[in-house]
Amino acid sequence: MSILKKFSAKAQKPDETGRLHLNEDKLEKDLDKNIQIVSKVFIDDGTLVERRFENQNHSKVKCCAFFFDGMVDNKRIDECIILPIMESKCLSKNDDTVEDIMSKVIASNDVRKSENLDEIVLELLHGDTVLLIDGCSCAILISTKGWKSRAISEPDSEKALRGPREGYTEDILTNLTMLRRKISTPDLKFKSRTFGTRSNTKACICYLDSLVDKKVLDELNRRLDKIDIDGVLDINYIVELIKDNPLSPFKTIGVTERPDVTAAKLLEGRVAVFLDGTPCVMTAPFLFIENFQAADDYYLNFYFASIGRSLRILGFLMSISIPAIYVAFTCYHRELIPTSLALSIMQSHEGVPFPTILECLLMLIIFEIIRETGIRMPSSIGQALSVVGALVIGQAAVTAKLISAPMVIVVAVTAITGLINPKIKGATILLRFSLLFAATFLGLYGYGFLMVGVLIHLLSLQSFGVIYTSQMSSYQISEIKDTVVRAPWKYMTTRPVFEQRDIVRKK
Amino acid sequence: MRKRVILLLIVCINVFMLTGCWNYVEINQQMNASGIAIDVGQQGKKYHLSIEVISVGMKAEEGISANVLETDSDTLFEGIRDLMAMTTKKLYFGHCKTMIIGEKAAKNGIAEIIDVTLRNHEVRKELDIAISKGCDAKDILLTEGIATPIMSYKIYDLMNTSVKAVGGAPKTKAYLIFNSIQSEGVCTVIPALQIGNVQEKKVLELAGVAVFDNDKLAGFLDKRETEYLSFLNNKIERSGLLTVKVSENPDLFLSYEVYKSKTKRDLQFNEDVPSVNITVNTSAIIGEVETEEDFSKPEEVEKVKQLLEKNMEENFTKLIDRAQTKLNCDIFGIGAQLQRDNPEMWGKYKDNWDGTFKKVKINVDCKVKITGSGIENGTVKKGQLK
Amino acid sequence: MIDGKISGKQATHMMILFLLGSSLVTGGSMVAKQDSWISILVGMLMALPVAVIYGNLCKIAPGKDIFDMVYLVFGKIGGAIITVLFCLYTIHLGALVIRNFTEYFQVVTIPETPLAVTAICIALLAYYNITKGIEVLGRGAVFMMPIVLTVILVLSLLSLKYMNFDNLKPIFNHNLKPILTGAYTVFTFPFAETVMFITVFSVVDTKKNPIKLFLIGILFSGVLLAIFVIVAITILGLPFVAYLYFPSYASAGVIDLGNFISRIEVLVSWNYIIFGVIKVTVCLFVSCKGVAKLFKLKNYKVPAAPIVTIMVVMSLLVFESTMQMFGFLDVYKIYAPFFEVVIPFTLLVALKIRAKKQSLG
Repeated sequence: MSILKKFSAKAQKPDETGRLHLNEDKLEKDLDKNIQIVSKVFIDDGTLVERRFENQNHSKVKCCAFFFDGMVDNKRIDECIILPIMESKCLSKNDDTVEDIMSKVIASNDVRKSENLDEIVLELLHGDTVLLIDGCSCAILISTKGWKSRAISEPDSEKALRGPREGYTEDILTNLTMLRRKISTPDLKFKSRTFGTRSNTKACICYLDSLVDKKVLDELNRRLDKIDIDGVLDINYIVELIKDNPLSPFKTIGVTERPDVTAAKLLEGRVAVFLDGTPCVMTAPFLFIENFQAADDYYLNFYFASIGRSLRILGFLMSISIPAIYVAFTCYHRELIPTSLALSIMQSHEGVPFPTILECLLMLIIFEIIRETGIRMPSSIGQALSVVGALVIGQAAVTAKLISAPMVIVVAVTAITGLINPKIKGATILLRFSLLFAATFLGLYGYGFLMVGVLIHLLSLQSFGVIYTSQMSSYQISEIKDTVVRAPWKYMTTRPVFEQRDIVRKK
Repeated sequence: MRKRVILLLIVCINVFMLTGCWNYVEINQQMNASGIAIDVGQQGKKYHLSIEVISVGMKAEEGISANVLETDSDTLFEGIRDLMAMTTKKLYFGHCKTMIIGEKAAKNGIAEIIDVTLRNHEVRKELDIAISKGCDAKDILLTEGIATPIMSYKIYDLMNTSVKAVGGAPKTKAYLIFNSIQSEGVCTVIPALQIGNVQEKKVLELAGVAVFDNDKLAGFLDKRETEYLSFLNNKIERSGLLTVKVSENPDLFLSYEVYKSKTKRDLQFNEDVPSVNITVNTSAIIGEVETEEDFSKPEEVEKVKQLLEKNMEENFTKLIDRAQTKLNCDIFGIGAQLQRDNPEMWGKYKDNWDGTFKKVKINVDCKVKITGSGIENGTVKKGQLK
Repeated sequence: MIDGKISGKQATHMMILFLLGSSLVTGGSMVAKQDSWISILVGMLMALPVAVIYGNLCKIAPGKDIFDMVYLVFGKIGGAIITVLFCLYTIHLGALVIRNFTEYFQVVTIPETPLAVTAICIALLAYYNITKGIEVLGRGAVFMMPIVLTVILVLSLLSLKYMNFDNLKPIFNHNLKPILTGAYTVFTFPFAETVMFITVFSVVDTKKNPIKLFLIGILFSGVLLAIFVIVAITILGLPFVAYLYFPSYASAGVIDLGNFISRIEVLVSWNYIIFGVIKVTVCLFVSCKGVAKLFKLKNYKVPAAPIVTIMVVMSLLVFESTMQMFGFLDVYKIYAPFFEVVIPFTLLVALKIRAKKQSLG
């Protein structure tokens, strides 16, 4: 108990911006003392660089710059901070030294003054340079961020046939810039936040002020305020903490890696949350039908897009139903199958030791294993695995009479249609197995009952107060024009209605 | 909260472990029965049941084969259960498509057979039913199939395709037979099959229909008569074929292809007994010609048309005669039509429709329209090229 | 959507699916033989004035369900008695419906499964539906309606070639008494069961006239039921149809399209699952509200679990055999009108008098 108390004494509650107050020290006027204070905070940190220098003309003007090696643009520090101060002819040691330095000497585009040690530490950790001046109890913070980050490339999980190929990177500023280039309006608001009491990860909430639903925004802010976690590495940490119904397999908050998708969602009145360190961006609220919408639906011809959209929905239904229906048909209602097909299924099943349900389960589990292995293993072994996989599941097992040939086809079709919708992968796998069990118990009725149950669950979900199945249960053309088919742009004149203020899209 | 989870787990485990999937049947656990044949029973029992079951070979090369299992029993249900003891697998009737009833069994009455077919939820009500003529029903199942080893499916195909192509036996599903047995105004008509000899091999053929009086077999109509029956009952679906003797030269024949036929029946109540005027409107194409005609001339076409009309009327009258005098069954459904269109008059006659039917005057009038003569307008004239 | 409220369109859809419910399974009354479709239409017409009564009740006392009205008119003790009776009626009806559907499943396709299993499945779904709130049912009804209608349309179109319209003759052959008897049976079960919807309308948030919504619901489902019966009679013919327990199911089995699509009658069972769940949920909803009112509970979802258990057990005990279940319709049409006609009519008269007194005084 006492040990716990000792630990808990150190971990304190964060304030409303999510930062911990670790230090009670304050800066003093003496340079050496200040240097000691700052060094004490980063006592075992070998990457902190301490650079003392002074002005050539007035040697009383002494400064010390702190920065983290690797986080800063070295050239900038040399040319904008150290060199000008060293060479400046107008500096002198008086009360205005700091002001003079800030306004006349430092050639950087972002300088601030701060006396708060916490703020100084935080900005130092974020890549700024801290300039301590002898005789001043405040420090100058200069923006010199210059770490290496990934080049902008197309995200792997959201490929598009046509249209923009940009994807977010791990740097939040780059991401925000990409978004601003899509929507150039002062209406686009970026509100900063920090998450994680230890990780102090920067985040940003974006929305279009005139379009967003204030209720959704307030609810989002309220939930974000309640988050109490020490480290946030990916947007999914936040997503799971603020979800409406965390136990449901269906996503009620969307995640995307493309700026054009984010921009489109903002234009529909949703809210986006960016997080530093991850290319994934969260959008809320999220409707069920968005699982089947892909970015390039809007960049392609509308016939093609509608076919693609319908195929995706059909693929989802097929992927969860086919194993269950196969088991139900062959084991409960054999009269439904045409006679010659029934006979050939019987023939192929002759001599197989497992009952149908066991075969099906086995094959599905093996497929999931192969899929997971395919993601994790290094790509050099990739060829070998695909060959092994094909051999294992394919010809050999059938010839050895371990499984029947129709089962291979069933599982192959299930697998392929399951991969057509990467967004809804988790729900697909879960539903697939549950429906399979239900069909084993009661045949088509079991399947029907569980589907009705899933439907009830789906209809009762809400995403930040918006009904999850908003656009699906309505007969008005204005609602369903973007669900199963994608209507031509000429007809997309109204925004999807989930309590919007500004209904008409075109002015 | 923890208690709830534990409770849920216990319930789930119980549900999955202690109960069973009651109706879950592995596809190989049941034998598919494809056809049923019912005869009069031997050894003092009422029925002799033969069921054709499909067995599937282990290897792909062995393929599908069919066996016929036989047993005697007092009721059909009992017979099916007896057969289960023979095969150790339960019989599955979901794919059973035909039922054949032997001639002798049909003479005893088919009402009970039809009843059990319809009551059982596994045996389907859309079974095609046929009567075996001149042999036992099981012999029909035992003949070797030419195309497929499974006889019942071949019978099913035979009955279904022939209706469309030849204008042969009308469709008879079990539930339709049920309705017509119960109805007083029509006599049931079921296709008949017989075994013929083709190159010393036994082959199945359609042999017209069997006519029932209530539910007992009364007689047979041959293939030609069945066609005429279909005409009179307005049941020509797609096409039929008619061959006519040329009156001047009885050795020469003309064949017409009938592709449309509509029959109207008018009931009149001038005297004690109703009379019926049947008008048959047929459209035909000249198919095969053995005389030398030139069909571009309208007189020739008229001649041919008259020939056909006269021929048809003769044959129809013969059939009606036979039905009224020899068979004494209302196979044309005149009583049923009376019941539908004029129920008060039906009330007068319904108690003794059998007797009344004999006296009903039926007049047939055929109107034929020759709409074409194939793709030629003349015939092959032997050795005369002028 | 505001929590706890449904829209008028959702209520109408619910009503249509509710009315189609178990009548589709049991096939209406075949007393009038080939004129059974006429008796359905006549029964529907008989239900229209009763629907007007219900609509008026909803209009006079918006936001109040039938139990509130009963307490208002009959006072505390009288109100309690009638509430108890009405709840019993609703629970019994729910049990009957569950039994209808489980018998259907068992007799027709899965004979070895005990009745309890399908009963528990339907009951669990209804319970889940209620705990998530009645608005889920509303959305579900609107979502399911096009699917149900498509299945019905496709099946009817596919079976067109098997229909023989001569089976409908003779039309109206001095058949008045059987037609009226059949009409009365159809009137009590299912049309007049829209008395349940007085309670449902207490959570409806719409400006439309409730009378109109009731009328639309009854007309639409009446016509659909009549179409079903016509399809069954024309395909299967009399007297076979009258002998069957479940004619609508049987008429789908005749379809045989090129040997590929044949014997598909099990697929219509999917439709029936939806109907069954909706009907049981509505019965559950009404009885929950009644019990909650009786015991002064705040949330109507609280007594849902015990009531649904009672319904399941009751459904297993209430009949011994399929024959008894079908025979019960004759008993039902004697006592049901008390709840379906007498009580609402009394309520309407009393409330109208009260309203007049208030406007005068």
